[in-house]
Amino acid sequence: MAETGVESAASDQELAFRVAGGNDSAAEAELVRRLLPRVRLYGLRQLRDASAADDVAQEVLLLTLERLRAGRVRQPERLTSFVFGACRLLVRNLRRGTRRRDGLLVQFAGDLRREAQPDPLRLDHGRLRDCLERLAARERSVLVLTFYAEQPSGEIAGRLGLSPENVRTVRHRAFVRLRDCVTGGAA
Amino acid sequence: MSDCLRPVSDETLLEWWTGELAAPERRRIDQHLLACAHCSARAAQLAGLAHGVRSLVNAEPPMVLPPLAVEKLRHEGRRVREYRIAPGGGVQCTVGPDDDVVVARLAVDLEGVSRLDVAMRIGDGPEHRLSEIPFDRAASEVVLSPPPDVRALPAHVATVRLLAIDPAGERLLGEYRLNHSPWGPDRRAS
Repeated sequence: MAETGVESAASDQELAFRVAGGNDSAAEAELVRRLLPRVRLYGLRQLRDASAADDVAQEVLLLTLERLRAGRVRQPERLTSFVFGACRLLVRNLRRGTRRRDGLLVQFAGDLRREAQPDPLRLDHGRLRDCLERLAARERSVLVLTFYAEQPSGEIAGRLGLSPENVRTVRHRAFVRLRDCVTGGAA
Repeated sequence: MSDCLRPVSDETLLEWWTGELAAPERRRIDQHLLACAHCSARAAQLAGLAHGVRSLVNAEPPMVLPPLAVEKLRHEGRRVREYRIAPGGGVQCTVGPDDDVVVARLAVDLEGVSRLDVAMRIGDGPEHRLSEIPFDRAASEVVLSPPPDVRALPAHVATVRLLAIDPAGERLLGEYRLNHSPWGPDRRAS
């Protein structure tokens, strides 16, 4: 969705106050546009699953809009704290296998459908493969162990006979090189 | 231009993603990312790369594979065909139509090795060398995964040499032969 001038200049908290004030669909749309990818990211880090992260993002945004519209967020200026609390609750519930009722989804589905965004995780595999090949073998292995095997630096250090500090240095250097290469920066 | 007054460093974002931050710091970063468009976009880029690497390794594992990644491939339901080869030994090998990944697990004594190179040759072709490959000394093996196009190759013998690189020069740790045949009716029991 394209940003509107007035809404894009407002802070998240200002938008929250406007939503709480009632009947401000432009403020709601802008707030959802901003928060959806951030909440999705939280879900992704916690759950490592894109569909589950989508679920978390949808449900947290539905809950946030519902509570703001109903005047049940007592301090809209503390929007981030409310969203963070909702994120933690939803992730906990998802891990327990429970889901919120579908009623809210029916009520607010239109708002969230309008916010459908391109998948930020989608990369050109060919380019990513080429960029990975350009890394030194040690850098590539550290990234594979980090992002594929989900190993922390201490564990990787033990396996590769390096210190954890050395692994963190290699990991950071490899990540920056890979990112620059994939995004067209200096490799 | 960023309007973030206290941008989260790349190092911290990596530690946040890998779960290495202590709980108070993790919560602080979580909340910052929920409030900051600039840093959350950078964190999303990191998540995108992590997801991309994960998908790529699942589809096309790198030539040198950490042993732990083989277990992860199995855990993720990938069909892994593996061959274990002792130094000086060889195996008859192939790639089946249902195999997702083929790995050669080369047993080697890595005690005292500080730098390890791999030299590979197919038939009488030129030797390809991978320098300074990472290794798990305790695992006493090096795991190689040939690229997917090995399926299309005719029968051939691939030779792999593992070389320790010392200040005095290089030292042969082991030589391994992979006698590859294309998949066929007579290979189904392999």
